Amino acid sequence: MIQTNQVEQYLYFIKAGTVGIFYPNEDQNQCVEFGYSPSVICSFPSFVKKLPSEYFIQTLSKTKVVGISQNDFYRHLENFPSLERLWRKMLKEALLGRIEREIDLLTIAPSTRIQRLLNRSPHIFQIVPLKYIASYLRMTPETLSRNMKNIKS
Amino acid sequence: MTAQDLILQLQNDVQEIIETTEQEVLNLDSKIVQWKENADSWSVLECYEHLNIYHRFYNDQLEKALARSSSPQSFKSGWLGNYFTKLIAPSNEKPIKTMKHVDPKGSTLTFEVVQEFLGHQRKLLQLLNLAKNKNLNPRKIRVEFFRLLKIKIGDGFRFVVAHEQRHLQQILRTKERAT
Repeated sequence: MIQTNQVEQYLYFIKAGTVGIFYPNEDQNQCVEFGYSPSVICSFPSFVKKLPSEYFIQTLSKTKVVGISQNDFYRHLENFPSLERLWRKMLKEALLGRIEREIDLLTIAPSTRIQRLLNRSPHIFQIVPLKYIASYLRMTPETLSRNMKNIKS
Repeated sequence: MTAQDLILQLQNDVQEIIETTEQEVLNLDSKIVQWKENADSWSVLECYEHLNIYHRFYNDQLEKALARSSSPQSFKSGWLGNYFTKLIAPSNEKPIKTMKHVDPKGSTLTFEVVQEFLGHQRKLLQLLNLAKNKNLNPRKIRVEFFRLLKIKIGDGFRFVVAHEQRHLQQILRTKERAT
């Protein structure tokens, strides 16, 4: 949906499907966030600062999105107070999500990291292939599947 | 466990919940069922109202999912459905925090909530009866506290009943302390 070094022009609303935000990290792409219906997604730093994106966004399944250009979005934001309120609420949720994720990354035990995601967003395990979840949790797919066996039993 | 065994087990469980309620609660003094240990704990009636809030959500979903489901097949629990059922079952003694929108605290309640509860149980038995001729594998039941998560119909039933059993224990404990 967006490549690295491209400037993010659109904010996308996900109507159906699942997407992932990735950071190209040396030899592998690090998954940093998931987007799914019904929510919005964009390469946020690029969208806000109008600078080339360091991240790229990729669909992980058959996905339907609608995009709104930055100009239109900001114009509507000023004209519709209800949209402004919604945007503020979404920013709050996104910030809280990022803080949760920061704690994830500071948590050493892989099993605790998995448990935290399971308690926060169990649906992720239904809609995202395990190899991307492993990348998101910063562990190998083998570690994830080994730990999942314990949780499932 | 086969689908038929599961349904039979759940029907027994619900029957037991009905009988316990009729024998242990319906004849109580209204002072007892409104008693609470402290401001943060629930009275007997509040426990029932909490369960009612969930039934208003789940019974409808179970009914719709069954209506669209096809003929019976062997049932296998999904791991997430299993995980949450175990989490909510009385065998897990860790307290679980209640979300505000399902917290009945502060509402004025009468024995009507127990009657409503018994109505939900009769409906649940009806649905379980219907389930005998249906496939319980489709992942069609939304979980109240994670709306994006969908569990299998069979796990939906298991989850609802395990949740009731958890609070029925709380009801009996509260009654014990109130008398």
